[in-house]
Amino acid sequence: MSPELIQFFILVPIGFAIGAFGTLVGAGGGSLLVPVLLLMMPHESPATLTSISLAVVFFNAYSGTVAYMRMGRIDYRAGMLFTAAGVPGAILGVLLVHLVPRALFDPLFGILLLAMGIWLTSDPLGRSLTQSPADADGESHSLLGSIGSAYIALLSSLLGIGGGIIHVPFLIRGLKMSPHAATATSHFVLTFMALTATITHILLGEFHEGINTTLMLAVGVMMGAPLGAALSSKIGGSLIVRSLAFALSLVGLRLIWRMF
Amino acid sequence: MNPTLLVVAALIFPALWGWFVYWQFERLRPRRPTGASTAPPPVESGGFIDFQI
Repeated sequence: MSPELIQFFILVPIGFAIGAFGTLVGAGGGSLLVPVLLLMMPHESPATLTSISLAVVFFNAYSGTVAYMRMGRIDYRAGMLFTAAGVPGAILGVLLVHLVPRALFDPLFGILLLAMGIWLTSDPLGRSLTQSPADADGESHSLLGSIGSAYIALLSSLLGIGGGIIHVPFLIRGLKMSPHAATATSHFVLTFMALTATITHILLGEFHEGINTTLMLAVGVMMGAPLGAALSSKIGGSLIVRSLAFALSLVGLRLIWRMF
Repeated sequence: MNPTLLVVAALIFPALWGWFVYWQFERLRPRRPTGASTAPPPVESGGFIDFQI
């Protein structure tokens, strides 16, 4: 069996699992994929790994968004507002990745993610209401969502994780969206954020080394994403938030672990 | 590109851009004309209903 075929049979199932779980929790799967890529490719540069991760996140987010569109769960007004707010941040994040020392930034962000994971586990639904940011008191929610999405896009592009894992808790806790609407709307925003970051990586010439890996992972991810979207309608909001909290804690521990 | 400029832009620009996008979205949002009534339209002639049955 050729090495490419072996790689195909390893990467497609990994992509499938990441696609299903990422769509279920409203994240693009980048936060789970980056640790996997770091273990599989110890000699690749962080820029190459984040470019692969963000390209796979785009395929996953696109596939999941189509599934959520059919279910009618996306808040399009909020989604378009947050997308327009986030695009420049996604570009800035890719440019900044070359300046910030990862050895300092990763553990600090790991502590932040771990704290967020513990907070969400302790009170999965909090005081969240089932409403859109465009509802009553929507003006302050929309402004907070717009500015928050701009910063989240920058931070997630910088880390190469897509951003759903930060965006979903922000939509649920900060903007009081229901978990189901938050995961679907986050996925919609994520599609455009990941596409913007990937195009920036391509223009900077950091993507050409990872095209094969990206395509193999993308095949798995695009098969797994509809399964995740279908599972999300069968699983309660509390379980979705707990799954997200688990994923956050996992990524946080991974980033802290890199410090030692 | 100047690193200091990039870091300053990363700290300030998202807030300004987020506010600008929100402002544009609010401007473009369709609004009900001022003074328009939310009450249902009056019943036209011929629409009499006798409730005293």
